[in-house]
Amino acid sequence: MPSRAERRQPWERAARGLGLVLLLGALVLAWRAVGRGDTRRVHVAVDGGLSPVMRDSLAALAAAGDSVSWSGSVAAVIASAEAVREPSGATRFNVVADSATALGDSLGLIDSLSAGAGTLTTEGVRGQFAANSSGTTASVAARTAPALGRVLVIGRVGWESKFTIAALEEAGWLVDARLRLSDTITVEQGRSTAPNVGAHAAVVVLDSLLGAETANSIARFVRAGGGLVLSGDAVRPRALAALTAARVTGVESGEPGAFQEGEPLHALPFHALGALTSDAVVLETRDDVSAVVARRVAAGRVIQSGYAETWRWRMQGEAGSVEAHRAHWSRLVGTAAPAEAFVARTQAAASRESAVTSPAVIPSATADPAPLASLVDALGPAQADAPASAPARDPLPPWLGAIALLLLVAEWASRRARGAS
Amino acid sequence: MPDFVFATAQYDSGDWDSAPLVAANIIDGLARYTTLDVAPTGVVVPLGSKDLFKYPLVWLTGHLPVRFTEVERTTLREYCKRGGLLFVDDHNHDVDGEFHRTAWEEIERAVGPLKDLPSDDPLYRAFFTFEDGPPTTSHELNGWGDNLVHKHLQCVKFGERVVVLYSSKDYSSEWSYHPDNKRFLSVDNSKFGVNLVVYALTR
Amino acid sequence: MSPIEQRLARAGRTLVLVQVSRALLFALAVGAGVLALGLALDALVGLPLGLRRALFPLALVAGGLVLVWRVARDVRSALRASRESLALWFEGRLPDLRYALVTSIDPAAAGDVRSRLEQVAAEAPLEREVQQASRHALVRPAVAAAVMSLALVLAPRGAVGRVVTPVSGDALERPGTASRAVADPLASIVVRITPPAYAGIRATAYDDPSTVSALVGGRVRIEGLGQGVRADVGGVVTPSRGADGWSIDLPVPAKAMAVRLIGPTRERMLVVDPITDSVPSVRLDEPTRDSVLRVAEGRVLLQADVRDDFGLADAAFEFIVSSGAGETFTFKSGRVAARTFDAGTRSARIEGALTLDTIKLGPGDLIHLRAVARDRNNVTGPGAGASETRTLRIARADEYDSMSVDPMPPTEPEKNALSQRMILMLTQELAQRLPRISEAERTRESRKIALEQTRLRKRVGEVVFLRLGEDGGEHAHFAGDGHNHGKEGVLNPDDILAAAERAANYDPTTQLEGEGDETPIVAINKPLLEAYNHMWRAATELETSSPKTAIPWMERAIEALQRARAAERIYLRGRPPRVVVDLAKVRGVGKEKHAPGDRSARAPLDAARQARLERFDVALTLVVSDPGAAADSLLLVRLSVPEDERSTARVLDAAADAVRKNGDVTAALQAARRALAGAPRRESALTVWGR
Repeated sequence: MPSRAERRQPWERAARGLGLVLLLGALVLAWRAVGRGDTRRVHVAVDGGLSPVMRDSLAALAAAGDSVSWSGSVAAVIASAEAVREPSGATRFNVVADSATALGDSLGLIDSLSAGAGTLTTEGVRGQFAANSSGTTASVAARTAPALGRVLVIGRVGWESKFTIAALEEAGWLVDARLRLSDTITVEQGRSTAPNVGAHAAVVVLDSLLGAETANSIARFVRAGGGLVLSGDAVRPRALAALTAARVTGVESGEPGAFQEGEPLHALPFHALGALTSDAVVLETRDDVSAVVARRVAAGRVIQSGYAETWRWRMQGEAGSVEAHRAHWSRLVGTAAPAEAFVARTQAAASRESAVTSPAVIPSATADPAPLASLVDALGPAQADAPASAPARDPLPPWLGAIALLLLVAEWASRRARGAS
Repeated sequence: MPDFVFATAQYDSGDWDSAPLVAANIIDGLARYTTLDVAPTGVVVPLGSKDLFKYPLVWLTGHLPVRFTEVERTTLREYCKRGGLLFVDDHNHDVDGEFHRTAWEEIERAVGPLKDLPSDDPLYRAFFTFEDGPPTTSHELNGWGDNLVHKHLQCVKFGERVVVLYSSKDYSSEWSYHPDNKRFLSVDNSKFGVNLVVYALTR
Repeated sequence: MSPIEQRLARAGRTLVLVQVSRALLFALAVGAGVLALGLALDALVGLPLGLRRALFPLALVAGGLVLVWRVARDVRSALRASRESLALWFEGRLPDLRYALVTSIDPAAAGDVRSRLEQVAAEAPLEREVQQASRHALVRPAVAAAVMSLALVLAPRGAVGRVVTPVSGDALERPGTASRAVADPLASIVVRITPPAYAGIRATAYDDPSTVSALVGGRVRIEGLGQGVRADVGGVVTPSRGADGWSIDLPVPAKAMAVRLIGPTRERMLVVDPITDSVPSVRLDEPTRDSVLRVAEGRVLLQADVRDDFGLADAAFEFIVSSGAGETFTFKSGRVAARTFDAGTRSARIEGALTLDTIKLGPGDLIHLRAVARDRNNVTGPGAGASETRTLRIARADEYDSMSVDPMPPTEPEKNALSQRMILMLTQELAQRLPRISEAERTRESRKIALEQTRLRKRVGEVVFLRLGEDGGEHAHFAGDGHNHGKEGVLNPDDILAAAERAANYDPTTQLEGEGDETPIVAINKPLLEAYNHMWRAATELETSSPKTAIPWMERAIEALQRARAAERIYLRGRPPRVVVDLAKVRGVGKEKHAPGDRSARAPLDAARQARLERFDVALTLVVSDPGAAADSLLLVRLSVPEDERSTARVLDAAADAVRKNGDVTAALQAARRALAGAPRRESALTVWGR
């Protein structure tokens, strides 16, 4: 009759076999799980926006294989900054948002814009400029123009030249001038009264009577990258017709009383600009007629302004007209001036002759000019909700290993108990 | 529209029109020596009127006391701030006279204190060169009025910009003749007027 | 009353007095406690002046409230206590009485029982109990009052003064200031300003200011505790003096000045901002307007209103008489109704009369009249103010037919101007009411005003027509008088209208008055014709129910009428000769040598603006680490602001103060930066400019 110990042997063998089978099964399951690349899932509920650091961290997780998704509302708001090419050193911030936007900087609120697009031009931004719309903040650093060159004014002795030069000088531009008093007499200012790309950022022409030599030098100047502003009578210079983007299609006299009615540009005599070339850019209109038109010519820019006798704006306008006239001329010249940094070799060390010299600000790493676009770019579009299914179950139940271990231990204990090895 | 129109200031208190031929004389001088597009006659503009701002150079003269109204004062101050230039000439040539005393007081009250304009100022080289500063007038040399030859003009400046020029030299009398009579003069005595206009048009 | 009853009554009165005393002591304790608490808080954190000013009234109110409460509760109940309740009170305190006292005063008790009970009660030590109760009742409030009062008595006198009679300039009295000053004599400063004597205003003091404003000519005294402080004012160092502390005395300059206080361990900046004494303001009330007088007789009434910010010295009416014509004039001047004022007079009315007979005027003479006043400024002045000038002219014989000869009445144009002003006012009122009225009412009201405007325009037209028939005066011209009249003959209404249109839109460079086909009549009446035209336009707008667009035309009409008024007086001397230069003939004939000099460039409007902004940003970086240095930097930026930018200077002063006081500085710094950078320009669309 088999002994008790001998009767245990089949059970021991069964236990060992089952334990090994269970271990093998666990091994197979684990292998398959690794092969499947089981990942973590991360879902972020965003309310308003994510900081760039957080967004980049999540993008890194996604790149490492985790499943990252997000949901919530992030307002569509974009901000950009561009240096205003004027001696003021201001920055123009452009903002587009689909709801009302609060504009501010590190010191607090500056202004606000209603839904849509708008710009804020200021030199008073401290730190980052922030546009907050419905809780989402787009931020960008201020930019200031590099060193600007001088302006050459070519005109006739008269009020228009006088006040144009005055406006530009008051705005901080360094001005050279050549003013015709008669066929043989000119009144000059500055060291360089011929257009010179190394010294001048732009040339302002106010005199329709240009000699051939002067016209040729201006054309060369523009093609080499300089800016040209044609205004008043000079808006249709025969000698420079090849550079212009528009022709004068009509001349209107100023409207009486327009200064008092707060419409100074309507009070000025006006050369309507029409017959635009295909590359013309209309910068400003007056009653749906082009008033200021720009065009790129080779490396330079040409701006035609149809407003004549702008000096009347300064003298006869209502309160604020002196500043408005100054801003108008500074903007015309700034827009014509080249975008690239032109090192003004003629800039002297004297403090009087220093224009804006601060370099362009390198955008900060924490700037976030388009939060929604960056978020979608990094993590994909928003999910409606967190994934509905439960997280993937662990294919390796913990009890599997425990039971296998128990069986093997029991088998070993039984063998040892009966004295077997 | 001409590039330059000679404007005479009309003010309430005095004989602003005491030198009606000055306009023609200066216009004549500008035409003789430059190709400036200048209006053939002058205009009269009330000092307290908004029309003042159409003429960034204005001539003011007289014999009688000058007393600006508040409107004239305010308009003049704004005119100077915006870039206008007022030239005031004492037609009495008398620093003890009432025009000088009152005009000086009104200018200082409306605009600012008057100081001597140095003889090397760019005004004296704006077109013709006057080495010794403002040219003398025959009235000065004849002992008219205060019996003095005034060495300097006076000015009020906003920053570096001259906004009021004051003369005790009686250019109003000096230039009060029909310009056709210049042919009888060996030296054109109205050249300084050209300097004034060119200076005003360029500075 | 039996003896026992008398004793009870005395006891009752004593207890009432005790309650009253208790209430008073409590009130005193509370009041003194409030002051003591304030003193402690002031020593710990430094209370602002406003709060300290409220402490004494608060103490009085608190004490008063406690007094009222105690009186209402305790004193009143003591006063109301009856003999029986008093007796019961004694019974409670003396159980041995076994109600003998209360029964002895019971009216029901009588005979032997009463007398026996009275004997027992007579032996009771009632007075002793009253004394004990009084002591017990008074000890706590007395102790409290004593402690609080002692705290105030023992505290430094200056510290008590800061809470009892706080004034600006007592910062140095604050407890602890002296000990802090040993290490840092600039920790706390007081600035005392003594205005110049003529101003008649009291001296003022400020605690720890960054900027002080003071009248030019006054003196500034900066005080502090500790030793070793000097002042650097534009390179000139002024030593300090004082046994208990230091002080520096400076005159108030004419321009803003920075005082650099140099201590042993640090520096500190103070800006002295001068206040300029304004000149007196003078308004001439009589005569009300210029006039032409037929004869130089009679008295002209003179009245004026004079005011000054600090005090008037004297005032008078000045006149200048100009006689002569052409190039030859004589002048005489004088004063009437001169008056001096007592010190401190800031406003007055002066009256007088100018007797024309005494001035010996002749026909054609001109009198310029005005009121003048001087202030008492004996430092930079005296400042002199003057009113508008009125001109009186003595008519010449040939002017007697002119409309403007009558003394003092308004001339025709003036009458019209008043009426036009009334029409303008009516229109402006209607324009304001437009949102609240119906369309029908708007049309009705507009048309009513249009009717008035048309009536007035016709009157102006009539004035011009009237003058067509004038036969005298300086306006007169006639055939063969040597003048170029242009078109001769009477004008019809259409011509007038056409002339009015031309007059309103004439080109001054091509037409002088009277040029072209205009008659002298039209030329002289040009301003009236302009007004006529503007009135016609205004009436047209009103007819179409557009009052708002009518207003500018009315304003132009008024201006033209005013010019007509001026022209009336001026043109009476005759029209200036007109010379037209033949440009074509003289162009280029000048032979004199000329060489125009170069134009020299002008400096930018505010070349230092960018630098100021950069210095401000640097100051911002110091706000957290070194607030004192940051405040000083802000004050230096403030000093470099142009004089006419007062608001920017004030904002920077406020920022420096906020930084020095270590509070929440964000708003102040934000405002300062915005002021320095200028208002941002906002546009509600993207722009292609600048690309």
